[in-house]
Amino acid sequence: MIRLLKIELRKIIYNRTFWILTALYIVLYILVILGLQSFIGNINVNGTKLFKNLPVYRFPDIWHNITYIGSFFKLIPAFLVVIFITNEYSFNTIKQNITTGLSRNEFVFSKVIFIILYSTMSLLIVTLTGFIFGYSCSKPEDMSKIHEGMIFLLGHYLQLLNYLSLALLISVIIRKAGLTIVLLLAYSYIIEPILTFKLPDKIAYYFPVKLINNLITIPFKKYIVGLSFQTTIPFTDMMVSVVYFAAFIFLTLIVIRKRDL
Amino acid sequence: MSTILNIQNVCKSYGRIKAADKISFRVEKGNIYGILGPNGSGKTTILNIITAAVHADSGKYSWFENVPVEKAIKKIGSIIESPSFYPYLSGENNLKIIADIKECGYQEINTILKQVGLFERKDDLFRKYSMGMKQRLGIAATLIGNPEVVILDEPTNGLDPQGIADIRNIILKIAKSGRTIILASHLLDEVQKVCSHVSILKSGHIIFSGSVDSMTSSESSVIEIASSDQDKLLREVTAYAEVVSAEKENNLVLVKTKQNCNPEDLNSYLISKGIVLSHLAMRKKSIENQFLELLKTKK
Repeated sequence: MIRLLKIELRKIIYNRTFWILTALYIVLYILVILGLQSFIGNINVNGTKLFKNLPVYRFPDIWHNITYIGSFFKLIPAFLVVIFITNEYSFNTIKQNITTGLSRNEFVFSKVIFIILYSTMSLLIVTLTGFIFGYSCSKPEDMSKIHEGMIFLLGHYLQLLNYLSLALLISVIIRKAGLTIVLLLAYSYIIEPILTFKLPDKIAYYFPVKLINNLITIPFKKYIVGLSFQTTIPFTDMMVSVVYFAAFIFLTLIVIRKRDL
Repeated sequence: MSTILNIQNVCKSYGRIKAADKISFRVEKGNIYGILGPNGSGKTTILNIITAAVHADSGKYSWFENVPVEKAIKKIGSIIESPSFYPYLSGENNLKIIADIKECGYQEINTILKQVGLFERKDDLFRKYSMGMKQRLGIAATLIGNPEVVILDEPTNGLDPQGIADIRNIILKIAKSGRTIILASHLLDEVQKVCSHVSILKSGHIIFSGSVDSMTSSESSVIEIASSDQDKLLREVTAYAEVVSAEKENNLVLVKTKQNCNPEDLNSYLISKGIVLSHLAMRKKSIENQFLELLKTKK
């Protein structure tokens, strides 16, 4: 385990693309959070700015709001996964790793370690951002509700684990960076929506990308009187999400074990 | 002597092409085993199979008399096809990854880098290396973890003459340390200079297997002779019991003799027949002729 971590970290920490994309991920995310209040505040409805001075950054709303923004940024870590996996193929280092003595299972597990590490890092950043904004903008009466909605942090974590393991699976199947990215995007935004278009909602709900998105739905509806909004994440959704995570890794293992290098 | 590698009836096809067709051979401890064959004859396929990179369709192989492959592979250093490393990592960091995979320490890395002559460039990125340096790093990688077996695939590919000579010296040094070496090459000269045993491959199957010496001396040798009266010489020599055949070639008579006939016997026989030779020389068949002949005949 420590050995796999050591191997994986050495592959990552000297890589410039990794640091650039990670910096971009963090900086862009925080910038968008910073601009959130004024963006929502500026929305014009029939000439009046309806959403001025909303408690966007206050506990407990902050958790749902920042994790929802976070779900848009999962593409950057997904690209990182694609780049690192397909690099192993284009440099032919996967073969060198395996003929040197890393088993195929160990190779996959080292990539799973990367996914878990990166998701954990992202969770820490989102949590920290939430506390900083929450503490600096909340009113004294909000403090009792600080824990409400923290379940969305777990949702953010599951979203990332899930989406990154999907990226891992597509990467080992396709093995070429460009094509993998196109396919991942096409599946997420075109193929799955078309597939589920005609299906009954109950079935469509559990398609992988749809499920990932359903973990955290748009939070701003709560500011419009009369609309129902999400207050928690159903337990079954979280379980299905974990099952998808396990299934994507299992399929990755099968592909890697079966294929010649 | 213990068996390092035993391959039995290994087959592998890529579509309609049979890359390995019932390959069997055995490598003993301390052998420098050459796998010789033209491009596309299946050398790399065999190396890929025995290092677990490629699954064989049928047949089996075993390392160190039945040590499980995943364990055995840590005792084997290999570079197959071209040296493959992370281009954005330094030579030293690439070797550290290998050391971590092999579960051995970093302490020998500097010694190995010095041994292959890369110590001064160890902090440079792999992508900045020349072809020769990449090959050296590949060889360095095979030495990490003090492996019992070193597998090299065309280690002198793309190198200049000096580079080739350097790499050969490194290989000979590795051999002297008592390790078993498996070397794939399409260069006969390389195999002849370095190897003790050889299997010759042609389109996926083995057409010759044995020691390099037995390959060069397996057939009768040819003796060149000449004298002032070539016709008489030819007549007399054909009559000699130890001679298989004799023919004229330019100013010489080429005599194929039976296995244990030496030039001395031939000479004294001819003197007894009243012929004094003006030229007598052994023409040992070069391994190159042998190789080309084998490729031609064993369809």
